[in-house]
Amino acid sequence: MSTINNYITSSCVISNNSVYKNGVLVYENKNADLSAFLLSVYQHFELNYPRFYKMDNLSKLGWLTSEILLKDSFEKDKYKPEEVGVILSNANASLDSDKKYLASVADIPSPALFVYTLPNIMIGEICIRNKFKGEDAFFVAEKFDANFTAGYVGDLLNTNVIKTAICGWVDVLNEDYKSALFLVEKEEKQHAAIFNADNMTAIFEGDKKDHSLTTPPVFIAGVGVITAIGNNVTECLESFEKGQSGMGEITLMNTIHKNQLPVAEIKLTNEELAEKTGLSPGLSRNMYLSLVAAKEALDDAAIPNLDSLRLGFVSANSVGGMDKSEDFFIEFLKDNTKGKLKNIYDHECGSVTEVVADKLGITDYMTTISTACSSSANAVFYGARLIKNDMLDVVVAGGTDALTKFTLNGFNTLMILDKEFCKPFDENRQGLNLGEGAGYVVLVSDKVAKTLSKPIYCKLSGYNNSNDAYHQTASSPEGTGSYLAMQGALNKAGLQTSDINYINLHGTGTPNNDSAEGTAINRLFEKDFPPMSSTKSFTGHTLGASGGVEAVFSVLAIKHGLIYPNLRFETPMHELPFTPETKFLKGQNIKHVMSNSFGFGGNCTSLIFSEV
Amino acid sequence: MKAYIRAASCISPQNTFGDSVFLSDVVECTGTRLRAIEPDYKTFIDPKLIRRMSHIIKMGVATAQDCLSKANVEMPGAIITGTAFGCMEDTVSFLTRIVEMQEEMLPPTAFIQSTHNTVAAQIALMLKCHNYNNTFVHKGVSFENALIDGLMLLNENEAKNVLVGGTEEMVDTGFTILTRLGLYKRHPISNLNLFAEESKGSISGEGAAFVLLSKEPSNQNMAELSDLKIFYKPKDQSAIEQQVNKFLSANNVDIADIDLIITGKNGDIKNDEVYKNLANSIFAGKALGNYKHLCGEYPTANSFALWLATNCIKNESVPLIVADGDIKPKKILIYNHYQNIYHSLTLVSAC
Repeated sequence: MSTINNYITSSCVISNNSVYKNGVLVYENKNADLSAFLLSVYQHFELNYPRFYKMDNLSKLGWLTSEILLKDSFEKDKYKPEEVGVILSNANASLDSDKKYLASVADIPSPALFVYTLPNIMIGEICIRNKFKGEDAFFVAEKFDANFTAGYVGDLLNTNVIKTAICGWVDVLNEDYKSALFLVEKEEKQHAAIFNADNMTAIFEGDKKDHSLTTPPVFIAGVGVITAIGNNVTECLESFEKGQSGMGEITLMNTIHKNQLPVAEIKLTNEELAEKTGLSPGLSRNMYLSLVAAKEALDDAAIPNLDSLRLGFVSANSVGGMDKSEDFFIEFLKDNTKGKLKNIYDHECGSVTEVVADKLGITDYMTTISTACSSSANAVFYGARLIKNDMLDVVVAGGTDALTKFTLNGFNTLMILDKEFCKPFDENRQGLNLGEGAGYVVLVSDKVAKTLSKPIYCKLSGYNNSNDAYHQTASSPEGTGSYLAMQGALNKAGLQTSDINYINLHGTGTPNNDSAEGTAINRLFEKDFPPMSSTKSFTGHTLGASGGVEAVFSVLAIKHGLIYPNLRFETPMHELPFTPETKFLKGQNIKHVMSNSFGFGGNCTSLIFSEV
Repeated sequence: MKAYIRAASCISPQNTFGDSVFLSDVVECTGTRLRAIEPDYKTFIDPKLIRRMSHIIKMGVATAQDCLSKANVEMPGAIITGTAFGCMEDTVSFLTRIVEMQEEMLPPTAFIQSTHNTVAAQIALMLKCHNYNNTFVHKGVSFENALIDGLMLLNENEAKNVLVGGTEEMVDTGFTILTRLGLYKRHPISNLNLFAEESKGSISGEGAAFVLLSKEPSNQNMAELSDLKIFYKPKDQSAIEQQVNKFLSANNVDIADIDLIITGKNGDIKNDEVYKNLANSIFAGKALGNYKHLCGEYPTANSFALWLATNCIKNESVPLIVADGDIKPKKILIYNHYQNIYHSLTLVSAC
């Protein structure tokens, strides 16, 4: 029997005035006693079930937990009523109500209280609500016994007594309480964990997880960017205001797709870039772009006594020196002894970082991250963590990616390139346009922030990296990875969805991404949809650079009170109740900006920048 | 920052995977390229998927699975990999087709699997693991960076345990190019005689090694990863010595407490000079061990060294093929450098 796997397909934990669904904090209300808190949960989740008001606290807690557990997670029609079992346990049985009933006996015994003096009444409440008729049981134990629960419920499922179970722990005594319910099914789902004691214990104790290091926040002191809409911050902001996008025909790359596929090119040749940066000519375009933006950011930050600080460079990219490798391969494939070695020498992604770090004089620490299109969003928050862990004082973090034939042809084989200019979040979107660029923020510790002679931009308040675990290149239809990334970032920042004033969408313009991302936003934000837009409608998709580029735009949105327009949007997506912002808005009160970056391999990352 | 190493798994040019007794049957190979010994992947990967997977994906996924099962962990709190070259086979294949077919009629599979994060992504996909997932691609310290990330996650209480691995594959094209770039010797040599002659170049290697790091004490823990440090382009030998001394004193360890120093000697005369100089200075009189004659030189070879050190600590013995003498190590220092640009120090101790 033990070899048959069952799966935890949903979980809900309520404790310490917080509600966690599938490990993610979805609601908290710290200033309330238990009764008030339970009522606020009932109201927050817009549950409409008048019977709730009659229940005792134990039943209320169990019932609320089961409602949140099942919401959006349980396909009720899949099961017959007698196939659903409810197996619960706790330490104090119905003692909480027993005591209240006993107090009432002195006067007039309360029948309303009396009916709740059995703990299994709570199971009844859950079953009445859902019309469940399967096996049920209530156990009393000193502590949540994950091993026992795994064994008992596992046997019921494996012997087909029931086909699905709601099991776990619901305990109340006065103001002490905790509930943890698990939905267990035989079929594996996208975000399921194997049903065993270890996983139940991990979920049960999830509320004890320290959600943030008790260290001061990490601040943004400088920004730098280069994209098809500008060679620096000022030029990019001007293009946004004018509504001028960077897409056009391919002029710099030698490819058969010229005049066929639009791209967002930076209108500087490699020679011009070499001249501008002071790097030697003939290097990978990636190095030039990276240096332009990283240097702008570092100069912008103007950190006093930088030499005395621990300085790091965390730069992401996805193609490394691929443009030069492409040149090398033409000769090399004809004759393996040919091809200029100089052109292949810096093929590795890490070479790009190293050459730029050397030019910037950064030696304390450098690294390169490559997680496809979320690469530089990961670089930004990895940089912040290096500061939080007291390994560095200042980190230049972001990424770069130049256009190459490798990526252009790669995306073309996937048939996700739009032959027209892209239309993110439009019902009739046809795909993405590739772009190129680099974007970096300068992250500084609390201590360094205090020494700056100019105001800091904002802080990085939240971040999360989650994996969609659905497909190597496609996003899951429900956007599981994006949902978890956004929710995790909010959690880390200690913010609610209603706190977010602007979302810089990943918004590539492919049917798959925008639908998955939109669905996840719809699920997470529910009704309070903040203004949102995809700046890829200006810059194209700059791949490994996009998280860094868009981090810069997000920081600038806070600094200048901006919301960027989503160009070429015409028709709302049929499945979404919201539309992207189409106008350039100035003078907005922007306190919190969320920036999304999702990539191949299911790598999903969300960052949140907040006003200081 | 430190963590326990709960389990370690390794695919390499030696019999290091599965039930083989720790380096008991050393593989000798004459040439300049050591190839990983591949297990029967069917035990670890759905046979339908194996066909489409490149060498590096198979090695990475199987090693990760094996490591998790040894650690008795079904769902790691994070998956972090390091690789300098990434998916070389698929990259070369797609690049070749772009040139040969002049950008027309290209199949997408090679492109899809060419991104550097493919191994970490495939592990997540196989486990349906939604947790933190990251890939470091920084040349000769890609694996060390992945370890630093893992240690930080544990320190931040973001995860209870983390799966960290280094993966690298070598293909014919890459081997030809790197030979032209002077990385490998120009004449065949037995890997077991790698240190017997003084000449330019090393021998090429490849492999995958994963460790499961945890903060929780357990009698299952094999060793402790006590600390890790990377330093960049030291200007001379005394700068290296300073770094080593600083690292040891930061960990309250005296060089006398180190039972074995495993260095990244790779047979290249210039590369090995760094180790030779240290052997005559701060490492004088210490037991020194080697490993690159076993796995070859590659950017994430340090993951093999960590697997090796972990097993030496766990077994309380050091195979003679690694170091002379009867050593029962409690503390091992791994010192590796990659082309004298990236240097790393890893301290592994008994629990």
